[in-house]
Amino acid sequence: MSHVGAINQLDVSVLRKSYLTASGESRLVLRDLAFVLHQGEVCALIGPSGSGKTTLLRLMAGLDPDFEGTITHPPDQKLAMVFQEPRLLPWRTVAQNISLAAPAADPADVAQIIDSLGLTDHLTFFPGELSLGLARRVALARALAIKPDVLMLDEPFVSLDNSLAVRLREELAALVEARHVTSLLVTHDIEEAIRLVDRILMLSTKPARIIAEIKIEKPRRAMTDAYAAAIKNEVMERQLKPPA
Amino acid sequence: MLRLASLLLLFLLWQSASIFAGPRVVPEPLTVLTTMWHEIRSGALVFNFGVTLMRVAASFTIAMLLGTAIGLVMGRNKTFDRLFDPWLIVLLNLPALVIIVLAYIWIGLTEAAAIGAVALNKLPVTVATIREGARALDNNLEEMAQIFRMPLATRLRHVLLPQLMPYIAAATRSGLSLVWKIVLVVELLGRSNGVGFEIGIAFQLFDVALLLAYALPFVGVMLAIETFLVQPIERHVSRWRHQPA
Repeated sequence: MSHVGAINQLDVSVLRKSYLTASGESRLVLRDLAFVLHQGEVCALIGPSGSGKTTLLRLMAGLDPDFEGTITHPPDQKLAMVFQEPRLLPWRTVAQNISLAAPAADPADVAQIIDSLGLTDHLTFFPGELSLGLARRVALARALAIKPDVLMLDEPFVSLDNSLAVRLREELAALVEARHVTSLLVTHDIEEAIRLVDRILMLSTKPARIIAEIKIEKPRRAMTDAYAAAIKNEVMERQLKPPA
Repeated sequence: MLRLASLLLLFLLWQSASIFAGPRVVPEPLTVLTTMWHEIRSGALVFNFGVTLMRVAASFTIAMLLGTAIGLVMGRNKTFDRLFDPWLIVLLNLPALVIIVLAYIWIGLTEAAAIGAVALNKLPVTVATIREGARALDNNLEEMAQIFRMPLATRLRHVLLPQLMPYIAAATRSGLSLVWKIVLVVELLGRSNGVGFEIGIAFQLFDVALLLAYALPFVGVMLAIETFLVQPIERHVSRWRHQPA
C-alpha cells in the first residue's frame, strides 16, 4: 500500500511481495526490503537478472498495489518513469507523445529538453519511424517534460549498442544534474550505475532484499577509470559474499 | 478500369437475363431506370429513402454506442464477461425475424419497436467485435497513461480509441451491411413507409421493376457511405501504420 506525507522523496518498506506462477504456486519475490530515496539524489538499484528489480519499481510507481509493506511519498509528488520499452503511442507524433504526457509544461522548457536530446528534427515523426535509440530519447524527454519530483528509469539503455548507450548515458547524466531530479535507476549494468549515480543499492537474488549500499564519493564528471574500476570491484566482491 | 469493365459485364448479364427470362420476371435496365426516375419525380423515392436512412442511422448509432460500451466492459472485466457471455451467445444466435416479431408484439407497431429491433439485432455483433479489441488492449500503454496521470478524456481519445479503431471499423462495416438489410425487413413487416415497405408493395403487385428501382439506389447509397465515409476515416486514423520503420 502507498502512504502520502513523508519528508523523503520515497520511503520504501516492502515486507513481502509474491506472485502466483502459472501452476498456481506462490513465489516470493521481495522480502524485508527497505530503503529511502533522498531529495535530489540519484540512486541505482542493481541486482542479478530476475531478482525483482522491475517488480520493486512497479510497486514504487503504484502500478502494483498487491504487496505487504508501505511506500511513503510526499503529497502531490510528480513521478515519471522511463520503461524498458519506450511505450510511446504509435499513432501520435513525437511532439504529441510529449505534450499528451505533459500538457501543462512550459513550452520553452520542453523545447530545451527536446533540443538537449537532439529531437528537434524528429518532432513530426511517428514512433514507428524512429530507431530504438531515438525512441528511448523521446521516452526520456516525455518523462522530463512533466518536471518530475522523482524519475524512475528501468534499464533505460538495455539492448542499445554500447557507443549509443554511452552517449545516451552522458546525455541523461547532464540532464538529471542540470534539473536536480531525484532519480532511481534500475539496472544490472554495474558500469552504467557507477557512471550515473550517487549511491548504489545492491539486491540479492530472489527473494530480493538489499544486501549492500555503496556511496559514490567522486563527482560523476571527475570520475577516473581507476576509481570506477575500484567501485566495480567492490560491487563484485559484495555480490559474491553470501548475505548475512 | 477493371471495375468499369466488371460493371459493364454485370449490365450485359442483366440485359441477357431479361431477354431470356422475359421483362416481367427480370425487367430491362432501362425499364428500371425509367421507373426509378418516375418515383424520384413523384417524390416517393426521396421520401422513403429519407425515412429508411433515418432508421438505419438511429439503430446503427444505438447499436454501436451501446455495443462498444458493453464490449469494452466485457473485454476488460472477466466477471462481467463470464456473467453476460451466455446472453451474448443467445442474442447472436437468435434469428433477426424472431427479434423483430417479438418487438412488434411486445412494444407495438411503433417507430421505437422498429429501431429497437434493428439495434438489438446488430448489438451482439458489435459487442463480440469490440470485446476482442478490448482483450487485445496494450496494458503497457495503460500503465504509461497511469504513471503520467493522463486525464480520462485523454486516455480515451489518445490511448484507448486508437487501439480499438480497427475493431470499430470492422464493426462499422459489418454493421452497416447488416443494419440496412434488417431495416428493410422491419419496414416490410410493420411500417407504413420506407424502402422496405415499398418493396413489400412491389412484391404484392409482382412489380419487379419497382422493387429494383428502390433496392438498387439503396445499395448504391450504402456503397457510397462505405467508400466515401468509412474508408477515408479508417485511412486517416490508421495513417501512422503506413510509415516506414
